[in-house]
Amino acid sequence: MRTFENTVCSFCGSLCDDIVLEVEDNVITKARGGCAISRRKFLSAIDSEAPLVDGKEVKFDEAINAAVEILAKARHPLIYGLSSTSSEAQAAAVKLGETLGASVDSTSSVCHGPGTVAKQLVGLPTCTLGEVKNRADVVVFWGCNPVEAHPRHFSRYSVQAKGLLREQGRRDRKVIAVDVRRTATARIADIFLQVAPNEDFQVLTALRAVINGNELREETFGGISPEEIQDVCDVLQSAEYGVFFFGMGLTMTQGTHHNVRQALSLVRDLNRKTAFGVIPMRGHGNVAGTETVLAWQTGYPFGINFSRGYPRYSPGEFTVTDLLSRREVDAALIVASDPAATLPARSANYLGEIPTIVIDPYYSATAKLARVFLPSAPVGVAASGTVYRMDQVPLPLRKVIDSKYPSDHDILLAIDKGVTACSASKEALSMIL
Amino acid sequence: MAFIKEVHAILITGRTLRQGIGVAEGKDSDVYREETSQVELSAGSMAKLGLKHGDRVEVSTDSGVETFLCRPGDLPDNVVFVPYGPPANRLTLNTTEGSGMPGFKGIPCRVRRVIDEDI
Repeated sequence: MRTFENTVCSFCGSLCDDIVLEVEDNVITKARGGCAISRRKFLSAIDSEAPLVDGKEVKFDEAINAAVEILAKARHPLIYGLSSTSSEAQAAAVKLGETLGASVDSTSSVCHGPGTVAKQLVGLPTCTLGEVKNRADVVVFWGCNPVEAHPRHFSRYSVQAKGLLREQGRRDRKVIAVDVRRTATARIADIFLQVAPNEDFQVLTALRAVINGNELREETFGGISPEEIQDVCDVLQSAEYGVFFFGMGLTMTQGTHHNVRQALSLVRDLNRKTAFGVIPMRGHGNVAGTETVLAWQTGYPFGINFSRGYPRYSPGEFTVTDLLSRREVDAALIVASDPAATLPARSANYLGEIPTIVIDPYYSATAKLARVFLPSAPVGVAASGTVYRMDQVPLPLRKVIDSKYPSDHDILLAIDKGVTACSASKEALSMIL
Repeated sequence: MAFIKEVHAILITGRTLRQGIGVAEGKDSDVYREETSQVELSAGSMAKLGLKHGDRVEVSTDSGVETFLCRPGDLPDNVVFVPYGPPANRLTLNTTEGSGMPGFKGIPCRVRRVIDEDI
């Protein structure tokens, strides 16, 4: 038996790096220290189905060739997913996208994409989770529910965590929750603002008005009274070091990036009075890495198109929901993601009408409607790589067991090599003819 | 006692701990299937519709119609909640209004009790 200490769990954006794994005969037999989701993730990590083409088992090389053939023929292919794989694989996917002249989008467009658009407009006065743990005395959770979505966030970083200047953990912190629902996170908060559905923008605007010295003249703002707004402003302004976490409750509701623009502007306003940071509560383990890698390789974080030979950026045009709903792509390569289970059915169903290729360690709902399924070694279990935490801190993933399949990264490179060879032979043929 | 046949509400989809465990265990797992086929309603809405925990309800939006098992949630009366998953996504909106973001939260919907004759 081998024991691996301080292993990183890559399920969610918290990337807990203190997991202890016990491995016996190439099987993870125990996973200690993580949350309930993490334990299931590690203990369910086994090789899944064989490579498939049209539902029939084939050799791995045959599946690669089928994928190459589909992508080389396509006029406008889509590469999508990427948020649950390594940054090395993400970079390989961008390279393939460039080779193909494809659209490249990540799950960011259906989670924090609008927040990223807002970040481009306002900037992100941010900090690391280490600073949150050591310094924060006021913590805001707006439209996010870490108790259920990031189960160890409170104890490792933001609420109960004991830090250098917050030795008493929870007792040293004021917690404010804002949500439509009285969630498990709202129930532990000192102050809870129950905002009306789709009216976060009004509440944020009222908070900014008070912070900037204006009087409130309406009776209610998104279901919140002026007195409640004033109370929250008093707490925010009295912070020695405040942190604002936000989630899908801002990015997915009416107003999308306008909500986040207002939230980031509020944090900017607060920084004129005290120290305040903001961190998007990222969901997938490496969705922060997707944006980072795409931005450093192409200049843009998601919703990218290479059809003119250079990258163009257009959320609403080159983003997955729009491309599928408008039936604008004629082939799709899905990497470490399951859009058939996560996108609106009216968009996702189109993946069953076009040749779709899935690279994933698990036989997903999308794999069921794909023409080609390429099983891969699960990253962070049977493949190493780099992932970015929600505060943009990169962490290394370890390989603790062997898989009979290659990593996402190696599969993407093999497809790129095949497509490049295919294009070169076509070019040579056209010159002869 | 007469119950209201249908209520109009706002649908919110989102993550739950059991849904997350289901994703990690596999989307064919019982925990994933069970969790994603439930809808949370306020105690007030359940009383209005004459529902008890585990009864079947039909939720419809401009995108489609789906049947769920209901459970009580700590929600305002005009809000219903469904965990992320394929049943929820038959109700979410594929329009993004130029943002790239589909309608996953804040969707107008109708909720009605499924009675035996409907089955």
